[in-house]
Amino acid sequence: MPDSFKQKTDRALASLHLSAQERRQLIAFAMEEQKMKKKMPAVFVIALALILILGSVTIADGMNVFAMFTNYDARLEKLIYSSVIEDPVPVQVETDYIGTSYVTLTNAHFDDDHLILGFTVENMVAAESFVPTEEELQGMRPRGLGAVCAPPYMNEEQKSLHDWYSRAVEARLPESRGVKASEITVSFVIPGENGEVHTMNYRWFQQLQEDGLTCHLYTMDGLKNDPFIEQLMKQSSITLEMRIYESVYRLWYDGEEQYARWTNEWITSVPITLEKSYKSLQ
Amino acid sequence: MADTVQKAVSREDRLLMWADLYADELLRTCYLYLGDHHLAQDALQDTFLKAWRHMDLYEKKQVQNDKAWLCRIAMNVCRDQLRSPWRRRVDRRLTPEDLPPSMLSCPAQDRDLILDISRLPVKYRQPILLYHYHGMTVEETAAVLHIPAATAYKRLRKGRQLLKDRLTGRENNA
Repeated sequence: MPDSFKQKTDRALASLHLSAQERRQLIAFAMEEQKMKKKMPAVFVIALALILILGSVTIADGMNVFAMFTNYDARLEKLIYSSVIEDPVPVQVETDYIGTSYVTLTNAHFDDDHLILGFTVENMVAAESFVPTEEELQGMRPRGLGAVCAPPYMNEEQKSLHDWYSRAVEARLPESRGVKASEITVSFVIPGENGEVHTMNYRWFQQLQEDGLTCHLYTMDGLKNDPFIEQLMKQSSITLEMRIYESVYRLWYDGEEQYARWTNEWITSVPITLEKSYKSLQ
Repeated sequence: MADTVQKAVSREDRLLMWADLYADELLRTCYLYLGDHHLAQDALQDTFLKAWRHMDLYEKKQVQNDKAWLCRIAMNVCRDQLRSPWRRRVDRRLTPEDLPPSMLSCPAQDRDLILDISRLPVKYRQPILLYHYHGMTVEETAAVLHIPAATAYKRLRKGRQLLKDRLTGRENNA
């Protein structure tokens, strides 16, 4: 009898196996629950009424919103222009490593077919060279040398660190190098019933700018295969959460092996309510 | 293997039992999704972390199929991994030393199957793994993926066709 799909797969991936001790470690790790670092003060709660701008473009100072997007799409351009928020409110976040950053919701639009959210992050990244202590190295996992785990960068100084580290790994230089970097990241979730959260399916665009601003845009245009999302799009308003995280990367190359650890700490959430637009886009 | 665990079991024991029953299969699923065994280990850890965190939801919903519930979490974790800032930082150039050792010594057709699955677009890879690897029904597959059953069936059919085309292509070139 020919081997089944499962038998062939298990045979090929037999070395992907956890020992009893590794399973215990897996459970021990899982039980250290990650908690939100702090709650947002009430002053930063944002409730947005939909702002639909027809026939005119409102552009925040110094930012040509559409020109920032590298994936050109004429249809999306119209949506992006119509989704710009006139008076965006920055959300201030403090982290030990980066310091003060600002996350600003710049675009929001909700209609029968589209949900668009855009934001900028000011002071997004901090990075420095790094030598792990013995204890830190214990918490880092070997990554092999086939894939370079590169640190994030926003300016020339950070890019130099990125290149300095990557070059050593790619060239297998017989010397050690390390980088510790921290990055503010954002995601949007839709709270469901019973404490569930639904992570949005989205397309995103990103543009890095020299002054430290970066703009992302999420759109659910054409990505509605999820019955939950389909139902959501029929509602007259939608409530989401903008979740802000600090992602910290510790990278160490010792001349023979690459070690890395990535942690994602949830800093805060900002609730957002969007009313549906019933005006058609021209 | 039992798909359901008695509710009288403590949460810690339940999680431990899930690890004993499903950890290897989930790890292999994450590997087939992500194509990198280091990332697959991260995804497995995140899967169990989320399963622990949502244990009260599991109990409230009186979940009947533990494995399907865990698979759903794992697939969402893998999907998020593919889009995470970390993933963007990793410059992936797959080399033979990155393959699990067992793939280097297994029969060629087994290795080809793994590589073919890894090359499938994610939307076809998911139902193939759930249906053929985890033995779920079309309805269970659809529930895990949050898609209608008809869509799950179409994607399964398309995924199978793509795998068959690759196999036929190899045989013609042999």
